[in-house]
This record gives sequence, C-alpha cells and structure tokens, in this order.
Amino acid sequence: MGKPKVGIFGFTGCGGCQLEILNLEDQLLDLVSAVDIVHFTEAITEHSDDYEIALIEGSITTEHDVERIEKIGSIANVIVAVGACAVSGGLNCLKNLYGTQKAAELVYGDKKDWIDTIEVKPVDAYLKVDHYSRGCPPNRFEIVDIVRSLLLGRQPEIPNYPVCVECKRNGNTCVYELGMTCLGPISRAGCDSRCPNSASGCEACRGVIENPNVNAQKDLLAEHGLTVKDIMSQFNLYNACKGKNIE
Amino acid sequence: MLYKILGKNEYEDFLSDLISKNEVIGPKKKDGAYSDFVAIKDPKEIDTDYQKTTLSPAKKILFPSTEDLVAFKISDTIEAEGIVEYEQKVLLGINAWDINGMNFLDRFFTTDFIDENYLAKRKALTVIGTDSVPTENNFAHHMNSEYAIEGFDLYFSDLGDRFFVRAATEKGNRLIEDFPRFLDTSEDDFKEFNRYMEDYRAKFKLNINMKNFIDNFESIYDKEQLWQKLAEKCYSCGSCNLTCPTCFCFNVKDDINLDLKTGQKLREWDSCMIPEYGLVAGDHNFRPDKENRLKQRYKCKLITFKQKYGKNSCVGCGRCIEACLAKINIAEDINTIMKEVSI
Amino acid sequence: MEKKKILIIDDEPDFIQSIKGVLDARGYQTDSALNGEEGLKKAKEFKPDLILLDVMMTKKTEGFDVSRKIPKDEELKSIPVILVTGIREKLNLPFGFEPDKSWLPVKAILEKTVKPDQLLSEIEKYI
Repeated sequence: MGKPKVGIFGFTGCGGCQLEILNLEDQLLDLVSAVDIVHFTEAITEHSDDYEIALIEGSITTEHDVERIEKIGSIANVIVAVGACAVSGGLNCLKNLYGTQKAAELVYGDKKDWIDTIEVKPVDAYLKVDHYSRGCPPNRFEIVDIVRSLLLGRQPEIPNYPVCVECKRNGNTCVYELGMTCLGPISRAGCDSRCPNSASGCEACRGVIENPNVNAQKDLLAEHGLTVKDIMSQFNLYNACKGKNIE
Repeated sequence: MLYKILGKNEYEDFLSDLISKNEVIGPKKKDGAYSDFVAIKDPKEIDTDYQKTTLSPAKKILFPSTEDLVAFKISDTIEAEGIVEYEQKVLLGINAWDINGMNFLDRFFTTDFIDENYLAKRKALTVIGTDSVPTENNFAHHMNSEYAIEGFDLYFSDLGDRFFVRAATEKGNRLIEDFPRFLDTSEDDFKEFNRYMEDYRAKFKLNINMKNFIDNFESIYDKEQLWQKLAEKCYSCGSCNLTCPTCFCFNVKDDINLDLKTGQKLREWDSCMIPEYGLVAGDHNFRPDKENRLKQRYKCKLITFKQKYGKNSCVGCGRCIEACLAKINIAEDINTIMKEVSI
Repeated sequence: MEKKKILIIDDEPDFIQSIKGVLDARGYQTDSALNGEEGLKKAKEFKPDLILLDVMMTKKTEGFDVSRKIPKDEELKSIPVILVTGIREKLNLPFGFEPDKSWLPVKAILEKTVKPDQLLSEIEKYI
C-alpha cells in the first residue's frame, strides 16, 4: 500500500506550529518512517502536489491565501488544521476587531491600498476540516496522535474538559492563589497545562470547551479586579474570530 | 499500639538518621500558602508548619496521576506484560485526615478486586504521621478523621517539650528499636497527651450537622431546583475530585507508538464532575447535566461508602472547598440540605 | 439544651482519642480517666450522664470491679455504664459476656474494635 503522503503548509502565522513538528526531534524519525512528508514549507525545499493528508498552519487573510487553500482542498483527502490560527483564526483575528480597512490604515497609512488583505478566517471557513490540533503552539504529541489515529483508522482522543484537570494532575498550586487570573476553567485541556506549570495564567489558546460556564468565569475574573473590558480582552486574545462562543 | 516519648532535641537526629537510610518524602514550602511533598535531603528543609497541599501526599505516591499498566507488542500475536512499579519510600509528616484518606484507598483497592499497582506501592511505603493545623475549611472532626488509629507505622504528636510517639505496626516498632533514644511513657505522659488532644481538637472550627444525613439526602434527592442552584456556577473542571484524598476514579487509555506495533495501556485520574465522565460508546451520556453530577459526587462522598464500609469516603480535609473557583462548598451544602429538609 | 456528658475510663490513650472525636462531633461533652480509681474520682466531679468502661487496665479484670462499685456508690448508682472491651479477643476467650445484675451490672457490653455508629446508637438508648 505504501506510506500515506503528507503535505505540511503554512499560511498567515508565525511558522511556530511547523517548528513544533520539527521539535519532535527523535520522534520525527518515527514520524517519517510512518508517513511520507512530500511538502513541508518550513523544512524542505522540494514540494509536491501529490499528497493525501494536509497539515495546515496559519489563517486565511489574503486573496492569495484563498487561492492556495482551495488548491490544497482539491488535492488532499484529509485536512488537519494545526494551531490556533488555522483552527480558529488565532491572534490574527484581532485585525477583525478593528475592521480590516481601519487596521490596514493604522499599519500602512497611505500605502494601505497596496496591501492584499481580507477579513481573517480559520481554515474551516473554506475547507471541511477533519481534525483540529489546537493551541498556540499546538501540542506536538497531539499532532502525532492525530497522524497516528489516521493511520489506525480511529478517532484521536482530544479532551473536552478544562485545563484545570491537567493542572491538578500535575499537582500545581492554582495560579489564582498566587494573585493571578487564569482562563483555565473554561479552556480546553490537551496542552498538559503548560502555562500554569510555569506559574502563568492560561490564555485559552486552545479555545474554550464545548459548554463553558462563561458567566461564572466573568464573575470570577471580576472578583479578581478585572473590568468587563479587561475580561473581554482576555477572552479575545485567541478567540476573537469565534465570537459566537463568548458574549 | 506501642507508646514512646522522644525528646525534642533528639527529633532532628532521628530524622537525619532516617534520611541517611531511606528515601524520605516530606513537606516543603512551594508557592504562597501551599507546600508540597517532595524528596527531603536534610531535616532543615522540612516545612514543619505546613497547612495546605494541593494534592494528598499519600495519593501522589500510591495512586499517581498517570501510571503505565501494561506494555504490549503486536505482531502475529499480542504479547502483553503487566507493569508494576514501586520503590521503598518513607512518607514523613502526613497528617491524620490524609492518613484516614489513605486508609480508605487501601480498603477500596483491596476490596472486590486487588489493585496490584496500588498494593505494591503501599507495601513499600513507611508512613510517619504528624499533626498539622487544620484550615478554616477543615471538618475532619465531623468525619471521624481528625485522629488516626491505624495506617501509620509511627505517629508523632508534639507536646511542646517532647514528642508523644505511637507505633501501630511491627515496622514502627523496629524503627523505634533502631534508634535507641526513645523513652518509655509514664501516666503523666498519657495525661499530657490527652490534654494536647483537647487543644488540638479545639482548632477545628467548622461546624456541620451530619445527623440523619442519609435520610435527609434521600428526602431532597428529587428537588431539581435545589440542585440546580447548588451547581449553578460549577465549571465542571474536576478540581474537587482531583484534589480529593479519597477519589479513586481513573480512565484507561491505550497509547500506541508510531511503529504501530508497540505501546502501553495506562491509566490517568478521571473526574465524575467533567462532562465526558458519563459518555459511553454510541455517544450516550449518562450524566449530561452538572447538577446531577454534583448530586452524584455528594452521594459518593457522604453516603455510598458509609453504607458500604461503615465510614464516609469524605475525610473533611477541605481541599475541594479551597480548590473550587466557583465557590461550591460541600460543608455549606450539607448544612443547606439539612435546612431544606426542615422546611 | 444542655450537652449530655460521657466519661471514658480506659488505659489506652488511642481508644480514648478515637472515641472522643466521634462523641464530640455528636455534641457530647466528654472527659477521660486512665484507670478505675481515677475514673471513680472523676465520675464524682464530672457527674457524667453515662460511663464507657474498659476492662483490662492496671489489673486484667479491673473493669469488672469498677462496674460493681458504681451501683454501690450513692453518688454514682444512677449512671448507666456501657462496657467496651477487647478482653475476649486479647485473652482468646471462647465465650462472651452478658450483663448480670450482681456480677456485671452494666447496661450493655460492646466488643472492641467498636464501630462508631454502633457505639452511638447504643449510647442513645440510655441517654
């Protein structure tokens, strides 16, 4: 049958998700034994238009992005959105809060019309996405788990419970006890609570869980001295595009 | 039970001796008001006044948050090998309610089935208890857990100028024999110990009414509005279960390596408060609503094991109260339930 | 409502402490004594509503003696006594004991290790 062919692509983003895949280090050898990576923008010069699985990093923010993503959609059978930008638009969505024209003006001034820029959207605004590897950056072991699940023909186990579960499994002191705030109670686990592990509050880079108790979270943050404006800017850091989840 | 006295000035030598011969896990300051049980290399590292730890020290060692159970290899056949790991350790400074919590887990993991992984670690553990000051959320005195009568090898109570020492096992007796500076007790020592316990008990301030709790719980079981109100702010984050010394639920997973041939079956702590807990194959969820999950948790902590073992699984340590960011409070809710009944 | 008082006479600090917690939580006021002589003295001062009495103390059968002294004492004769003893197990006796008006004038006999619920419900029969 031969090994499945995989293409790894970058769109509008920092390239850090592709770097995370490279950060697999020794496990990278296991990965390339299991699949054939025929296109990897950040890592190899050769590119190929013959692949079955596409791992896509970055969000769609230009007309050129739209052309490229639609081409990938016509080739690949399986689409995996990798990282917050691809999954939900990520940090890039902050542009949408300003409005695309206003943002272009702020940054480029009188040259704004030279810039190809459209409303930021995640990959699933254009293609049907089969699996999401969330986070900024994503958990490289979760990316491996998704690839492995594709090879085994089963569903990957992506948690739908809050980061608190992983934080407590790791025995952390809750960062609220240390005078900080944290979106952990409504954020999706799967990152092994890496920010609280370093005594830093969670910023919901993996998005929120399916039924977050947003009201309780707002009350909690208000108790810790954050105004509604502060709270909304916390929620909007990574989740500004998927506004329908958070009021 | 063997009773002995150890002079205050001898205690540090006893600890140094212990540390030189064993791997000792004891309390050390961590962040803010929290301490953590970690490897101790010198008696001076020990946080003798610790009050709060995120996790129960016994559970951390005996039933860790993730644990490999089976290593397997798939070829024409499936080769599987059980994994049971344990190390000889001394747990120093565990308090009475955490010991009682550990006793509950001892019983749970050896009743109806024998959990080899837990048992191997438990047999390899020497337990030396000391009293710690309860926080304002501690109601161990209502759960018969403010005093430990078993589960430890040695227990030290600090009478001020000396330690009153209890040895509950052969291992404890041997530890005493190996350090010849323990003294015999006198009737004065016993009286002083009883006085010490009076003072110690006075430190538990939280009051709850557990009288007829089982019947009362039955009578308000179907009051949907009450449960919705109690669970309203719940995040379903599982913090209550995961910090609890007696919660034992775990999820089993299969992890296959990229060679698609070798892998391991492992377990990790689960929580009955997260939405997926009741989710089964076919996508049915037995407990999709958080108010039903809260009701189930209270039943499990305050009723089920009282009926099964004669003692509650809740030891009143207060960790769930402190961990809950939604401020759901089991002690307050016990009192609310009692009030609700009298209406 | 005034708290009911219970006196525990037992030479094992461990038993005293393990029982005290249960009784205190139930709202009883408790005191303890380590042997029969001290127990009788304390009983006159503390005036308990009920006495929990151990058997094997300074003498193997001290508790039996104490149980007979109580009904003979003007100040103490109305106090119900529950015997709580591990004597059967410790001495490997093939028989148990039963209360007897002259030989063992107690209300009830419980064998150690006694379950807290069993102890509480027994106590509630008499006070």
